[in-house]
Amino acid sequence: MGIRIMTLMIVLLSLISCDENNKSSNHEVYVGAYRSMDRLIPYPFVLSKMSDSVMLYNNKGEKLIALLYDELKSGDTLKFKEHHFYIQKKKSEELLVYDLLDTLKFPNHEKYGLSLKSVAKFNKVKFIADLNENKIKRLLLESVLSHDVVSDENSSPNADFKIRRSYQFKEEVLEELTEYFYDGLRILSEYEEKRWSLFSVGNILLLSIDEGEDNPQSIYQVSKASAGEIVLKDFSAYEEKSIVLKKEGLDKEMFVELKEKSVYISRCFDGFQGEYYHQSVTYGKGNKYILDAVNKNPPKTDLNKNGYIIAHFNISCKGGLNDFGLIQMDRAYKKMSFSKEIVKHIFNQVLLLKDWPVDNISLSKGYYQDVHAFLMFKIENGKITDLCP
Amino acid sequence: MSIKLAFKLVLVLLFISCNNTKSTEDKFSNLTEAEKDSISERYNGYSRYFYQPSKMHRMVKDSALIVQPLNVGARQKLSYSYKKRGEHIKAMEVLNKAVEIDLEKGNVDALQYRIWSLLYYYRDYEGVLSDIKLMKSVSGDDYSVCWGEPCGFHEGQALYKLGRFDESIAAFERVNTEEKELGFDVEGNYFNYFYMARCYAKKELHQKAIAYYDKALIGFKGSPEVYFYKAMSFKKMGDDVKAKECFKDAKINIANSMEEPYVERFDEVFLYMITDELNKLD
Repeated sequence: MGIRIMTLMIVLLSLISCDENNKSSNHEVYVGAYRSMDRLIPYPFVLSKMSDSVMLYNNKGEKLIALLYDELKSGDTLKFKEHHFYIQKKKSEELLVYDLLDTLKFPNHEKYGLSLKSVAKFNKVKFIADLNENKIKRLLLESVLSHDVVSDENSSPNADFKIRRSYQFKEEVLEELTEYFYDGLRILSEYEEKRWSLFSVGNILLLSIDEGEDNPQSIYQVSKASAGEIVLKDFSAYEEKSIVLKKEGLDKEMFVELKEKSVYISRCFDGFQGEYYHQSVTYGKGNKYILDAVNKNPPKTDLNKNGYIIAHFNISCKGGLNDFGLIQMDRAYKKMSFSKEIVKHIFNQVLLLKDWPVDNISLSKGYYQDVHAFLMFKIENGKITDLCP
Repeated sequence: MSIKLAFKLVLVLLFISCNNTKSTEDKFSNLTEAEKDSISERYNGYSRYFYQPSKMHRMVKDSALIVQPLNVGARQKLSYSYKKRGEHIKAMEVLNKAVEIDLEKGNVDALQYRIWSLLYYYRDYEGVLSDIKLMKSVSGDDYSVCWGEPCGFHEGQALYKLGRFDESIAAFERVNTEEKELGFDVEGNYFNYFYMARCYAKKELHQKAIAYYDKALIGFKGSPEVYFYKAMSFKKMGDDVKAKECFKDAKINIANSMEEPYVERFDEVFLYMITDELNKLD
């Protein structure tokens, strides 16, 4: 290749690059990640900053309102009709914001001022070229897409389950199927239906889940799309991560088949779960009842093993269990592994338990409605001998 | 380095990855132990601003420990966060380190908390006995308190769960003797008498068990657990009439059950258990 051609190509490339930079520098888009620094509750709004205005979008991509505005700065307040966003801090890649009109979510104490930890975080997202909304919608609708779940602050504690989540996007509904594997064996699966939207703000393509205002869900940025995979940026935890949705996994028939065998779940508030001890959300019939249940026809495995199998889950305020996790440890409180037979047996029995005190959960006020709990089974020479808490 | 400057440095540290722990520790090498203690305690206090089982709470606690790794109180409390979240490998790793540091200082506070944890959370009865032996050897005290309850009471419960009933009864009696010497009114030791009764019942000495259930009722007249197990002893003795009376008393008093927020006490009674027994007698 001649020097002249190469030079021309470099100039052309740099021009394209400059063009993309211009697009992004004229137009800043901030996606609501979460509010409350310790609870990480989804905050599904989008702020779009053009050269002389700011627009606010909801999680369906509907423009709520626009304001004339020059430059976003720390200390400013964006006075939308229903939200007065006070910008506590503007960093290069994020905005920390309080809604001064919402004193329930953003308490403003007469003496101490705004509660520092209640702040909402918006992430500035980058423009990504070559993403066509219609094409991506077709890709989403045409096949089942799956990804391996990476645990984070929003998940039930889990060390030993491999978790695969699959999605069947339909025009009106998103079907979500989560499988929990241990040592290659599917231990259980759960199924849930949600509403979804794919929309663009400026040149930024976003995918959101919608469960109504009382159960806020995350907004994801579509960052890559091809026939084989779609990559979403997830801002819901402290560290941004990529969700790589791939076709490999389940086909449509397998999805339907597995859906029929799965636990149907419905949560009241995905954003944050209380802990079992807040309202004494322990099993209504006590540990002896559970021990008697799990000791019905237990597998005769692990005869030389001693330790603990900890089953984690959330209890929905509508009843039922979801979002499972597995941790195993030995009597010295170090990581260990039991057989898949005993793990499956325990989870099968736990799923049959029906006397969770849902009424206690409904008594809770404010920031949670569902509850995280765990059952720690003590195993001695393969026998399930004790249970806590 | 002034405290103020060091404080600012720690503020920055809060958001530095744990992977950088070694390099950040080095930044505090110029501080005196008193300065480190002060900053560490300040951060230990700040962590309480955040929800205890949250990662943010732990991050602030971690900051306190980066400045002063010997802060046993902060380390012990960090273990609560993991424990309440059910992350028990990490909870025990952190607690064991706290106990180790505390024992090196000649203190048994963290060890006493571990005794409580091993008994109620981990049902590790051998571990309880081993830790109680260690605690006595370090402190030299006959009577001590493990997280709000006499350590001897924990010893008695561990022995009861291990089926060593005579030793268990002896441990509960020791607690009563020691508390009497300290001037306490031991008549009110409801739990002690209840578990002594349970030991006698397990030994099939039901008459004696009933006598101790009655002692327990002096301390807590409305205990459904006492009525239930007293009924079970009457039933074993073939006295279904008295058994039924006691089951009914248990049912009336079920709202007063042992219910603890974090754990289930041994031999707690639930309504279905009483109903099942009453149905059998009808």
